[in-house]
Amino acid sequence: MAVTKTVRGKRPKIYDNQGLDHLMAMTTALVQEVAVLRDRLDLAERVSESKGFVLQDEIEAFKLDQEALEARELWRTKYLGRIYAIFEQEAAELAAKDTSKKYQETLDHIAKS
Amino acid sequence: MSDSALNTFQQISHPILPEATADELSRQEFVKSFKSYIQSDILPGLKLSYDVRSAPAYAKQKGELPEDRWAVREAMKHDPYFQGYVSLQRISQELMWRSVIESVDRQLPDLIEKVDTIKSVGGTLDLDPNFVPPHYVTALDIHCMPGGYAGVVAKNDVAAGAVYDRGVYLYAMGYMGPFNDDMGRSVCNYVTRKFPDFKPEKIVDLGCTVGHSTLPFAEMFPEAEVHGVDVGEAILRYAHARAEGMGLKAHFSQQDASAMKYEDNSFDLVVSHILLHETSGKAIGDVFKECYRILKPGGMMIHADLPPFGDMDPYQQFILDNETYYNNEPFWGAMRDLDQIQLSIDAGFDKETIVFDTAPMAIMEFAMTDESYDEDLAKELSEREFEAGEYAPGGGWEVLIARK
Repeated sequence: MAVTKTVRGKRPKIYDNQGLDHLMAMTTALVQEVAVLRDRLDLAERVSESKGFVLQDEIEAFKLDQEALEARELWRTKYLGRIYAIFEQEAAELAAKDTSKKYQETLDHIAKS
Repeated sequence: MSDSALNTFQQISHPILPEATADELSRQEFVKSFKSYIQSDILPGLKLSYDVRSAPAYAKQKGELPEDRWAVREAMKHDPYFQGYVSLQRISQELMWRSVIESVDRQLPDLIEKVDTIKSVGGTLDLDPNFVPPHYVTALDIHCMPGGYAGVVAKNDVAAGAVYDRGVYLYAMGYMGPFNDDMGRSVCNYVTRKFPDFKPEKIVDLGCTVGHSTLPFAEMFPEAEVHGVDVGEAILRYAHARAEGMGLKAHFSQQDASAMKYEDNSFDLVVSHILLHETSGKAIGDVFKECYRILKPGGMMIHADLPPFGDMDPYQQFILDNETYYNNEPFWGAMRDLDQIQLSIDAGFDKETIVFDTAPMAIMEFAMTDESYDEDLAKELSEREFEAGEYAPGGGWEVLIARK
């Protein structure tokens, strides 16, 4: 039971070059992820400080095991899915053969019926 | 927006509200901050780009300044400032839903299980297994909410409701209050202050979604029987669980507001909150007719929604119309041109009883309820003049009132 993530209704073409629409979507998602990362690290520092623990030194000394390598690689896969979500949306629209013309037709239809 | 007051508004939890991990909360909080930033720091420059660049370029080519909102769009759509602004607006909406959906998706089985553990305070849920949602709800995912209002992804699903309850909080940047109930609360305040002798015994909220605007009526008219209708099974199941969890009694049912099962002359008060702009050219008239039909003589109809375009200048109309083209709100623009007073007359209401007014936002009251609601910011928000493109232009909700 996966909650739907893509949107029905052709996404508007904002830039003359469609690639720029994609780029804006990707970079802004990236901006979000950097903020999330920053928040977490900030939180980690606050938590450890509250427990009297020097996080920076422990980070430098730490060795990653196999489980860690796998978990981090899995995270990267999901992360990339978030950043490049615009392509998932594009593919869903293509699969549904959705077009800007259809969007306008829907507007006209809804205005009247 | 004030330079010193920071928006730290936080949603208050209730038993069925999805919970966020630290990262999910960061992702969602980013969206709230991002939307605020676009509104306070990017939007103001847009008028400049219009006055300085787009409008003169248009005038040079066409021999006149843009005369209506479609002409303004023609002038603006190739301008890089506008393209940047509207791109980020659309993207903020997409990030908003995705940031909430990821969280709901993770905990959906637990949420579904939790529904049955919530102790009832006497509210009810009436779902119709044969119900077919109206075409204008399923044609597009309105306001880009993936799956739409009528989406169902599981048995005993509540996902659409969970996604909406958290998503709409972020969309409104917390201005709807910690329980998303500003609209309902504003209308209740308006009714009790403007019509202090009006004591409704039976109330229905049309297009109630998760019941966020419905429950204030149960709270502020405790003697009344309160109903909420909507078209989505999962949305309503969530609404029912939400109300029971919050200890407020309401009766939710799956109905089309343009063709309801309620009897004639059975309600004292029929309300709706931001429903009308999500119906259609034909349905809106039918909704008004249904309101008249189910109201008792002397009963009141109140629709809280966005103000008609009326006398707004073309640039303002264009900005407000962006929702139609960039946020999957197909009826938004068309609805703003309709004569709702005439629709009310056509439905049977007496012209003398029909009026548009503004119900002020209840945001000041939220400052009392939660530490995250900074009192200075709340005061500033309740008093300032909102610009086109910002949340709730006018600083209040436009209400259309009519009496039978």
